[in-house]
Amino acid sequence: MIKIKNLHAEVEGNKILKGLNLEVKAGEVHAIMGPNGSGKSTLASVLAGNDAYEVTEGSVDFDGSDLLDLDVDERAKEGMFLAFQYPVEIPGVSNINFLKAALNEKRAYQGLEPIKAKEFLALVKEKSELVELAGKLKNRSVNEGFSGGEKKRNEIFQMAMLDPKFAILDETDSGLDIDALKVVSHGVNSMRSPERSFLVITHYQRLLDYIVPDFVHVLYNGKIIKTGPKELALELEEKGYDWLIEETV
Amino acid sequence: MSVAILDEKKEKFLQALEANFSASDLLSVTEGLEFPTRRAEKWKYTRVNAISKEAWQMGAGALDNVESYNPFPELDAVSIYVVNGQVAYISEDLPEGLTIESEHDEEGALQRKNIFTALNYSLNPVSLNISAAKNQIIAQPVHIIFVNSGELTTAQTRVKIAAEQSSFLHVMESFVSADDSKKWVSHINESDVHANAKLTISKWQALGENGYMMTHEFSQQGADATYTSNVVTKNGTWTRNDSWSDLNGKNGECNLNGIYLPTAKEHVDNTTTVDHKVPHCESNELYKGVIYDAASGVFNGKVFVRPDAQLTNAFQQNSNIVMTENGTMNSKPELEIYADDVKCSHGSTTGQFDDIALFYLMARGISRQNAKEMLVTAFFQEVLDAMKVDEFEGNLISL
Ligand SMILES: Nc1ncnc2c1ncn2[C@@H]1O[C@H](COP(=O)(O)OP(=O)(O)OP(=O)(O)O)[C@@H](O)[C@H]1O
Ligand SMILES: [Mg+2]
Repeated sequence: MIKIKNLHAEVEGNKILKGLNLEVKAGEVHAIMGPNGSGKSTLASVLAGNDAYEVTEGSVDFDGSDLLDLDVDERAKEGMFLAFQYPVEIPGVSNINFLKAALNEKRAYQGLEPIKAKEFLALVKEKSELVELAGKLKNRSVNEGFSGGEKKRNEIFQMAMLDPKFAILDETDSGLDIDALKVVSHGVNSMRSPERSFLVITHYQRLLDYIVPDFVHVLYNGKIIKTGPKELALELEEKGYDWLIEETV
Repeated sequence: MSVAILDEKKEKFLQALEANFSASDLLSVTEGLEFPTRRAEKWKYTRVNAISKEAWQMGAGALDNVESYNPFPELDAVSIYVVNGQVAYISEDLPEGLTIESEHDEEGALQRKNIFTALNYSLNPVSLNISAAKNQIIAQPVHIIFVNSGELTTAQTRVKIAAEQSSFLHVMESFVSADDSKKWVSHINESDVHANAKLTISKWQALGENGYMMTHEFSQQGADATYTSNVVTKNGTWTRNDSWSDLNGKNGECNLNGIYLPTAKEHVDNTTTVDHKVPHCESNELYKGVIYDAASGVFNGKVFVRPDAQLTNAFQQNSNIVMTENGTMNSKPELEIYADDVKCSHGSTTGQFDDIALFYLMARGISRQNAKEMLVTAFFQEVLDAMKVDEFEGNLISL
């Protein structure tokens, strides 16, 4: 699905990613953990195409296409999705209208007709119920006036609407209470399939009880310094990162 | 010293005009009136030089297929076509209570004369007078389409509007070019909004490349009257909109709304003066601009609250997005308040385009162009809502 080789990236002259390698195969769920500032969100931004970050070295193959050569929207149309760590409020842009535009752009890219109004509404209903946001989206601007938890659920709602093949969830669990966490996890789990992969960035092992990963990676100082099975998350929660960091240096 | 420089600029301006207009008339009508320079407070950020050296001429008063230049052909309106400043066509079926006529007057009775308004009367003595009779609700808007064509042509136009007591009238004015040749359009509105009447003037400015446009909007409001001015500066090389709104009767409401989105090296200046002379009036100013490329914008908003004007509500907001490092915006709100029991506020913000929001929309699969349009439209939505002119909504960004 995605193959990242020797990825180096910087922002405003600061080197953040320093030779990152990662392969995620179709159907797999990978978790990325790591201390604050280690470069997790940078990796997510670089993969999604945020041009505030400059890739200085390395390559990313996304299902056969050169990911780094695609503009942000093209990546999304190719099936990339990023659930933002900090979802953006966009006053004046309607949540539903913007999603419809996004969906139709993707369909046009795939050579499909625009979605019928009725079909779209049915889809909105189904997917918003999945994350328990039904009724909260009408006549609303993107994320405006949403609580932190609602914003995160809105990210999962958008993911469900857009049906990506590779989704990055950047701390979608941070700050959620247990009920919201269950809702979000249920949304993600209902989308798990042999054709779809997930990259789940988190600080908390708790999420991984609900979204069970195939692999856990530790990102530190711009590199993956350890990869293990899901049990690694438990170990990290217990012992912290210092033992691993000492091991690397 | 400075007087000599002022005179020199004026002399050059008039000399260039003398090629096609009577020299003695030019001198006498502009006697005592200065050519504005950036030393003048109200012209600090706007240079008039570009129009001051050309031998302007009146263009032909007719044009083939003039209707094809109507930017809002679907609008159900009483249409008037003005070609190069001369009336070419007026709808025949006028609704009851609406009068449209031409008037010959070489001087006018403007209290606030300047060199451009004086020349406007002198170069084209014909005004278009529109009135809505007492108690008449004119449901159809009057749409005047000013079409300009021909190299170095100038259109000097005036529309005088009288909204009689308790009447309702909406006048739309679209300014367009038939070609890309250099032109200077100078337009005046003089409006009387009588007691309890509602008048709206909505301008669509789209002179395009090589279009130099100045407007002067004067309004006098009686008691309980509402005057609304909407100005969209869609494009044009250089645009200066001056307005003076006098609130002369109690419980008057004055709304000034503006949208501008200059690109390339275009320049747009909105300079407004609202004069609260009596108690219990309200004024609302909302101007928003997106400055693209190396374009520049100016907002200069002056509000007077005279000593008698107790219980005035005066609000002014100017918000801008400057898209590139080469764009500039000068925003200058000014309140002069001489009454003590008033509610006034003004705010001015100039920021950059929200790149994070752009990234967010694009990360959902929306193309850069569409995402930008969405964000710009969202930014202007508040003003569009205040303007309530459907034709402006869909046409802001397109083309
Ligand atoms: N736009 C930016 N400008 C400057 N520095 C940045 C920018 N974005 C990230 N950084 C820096 O890059 C480093 C990595 O940041 P990043 O957000 O990728 O970390 P993270 O692993 O996601 O951390 P957290 O767990 O706190 O979310 C940090 O030192 C951060 O300060
Ligand atoms: Mg982060």
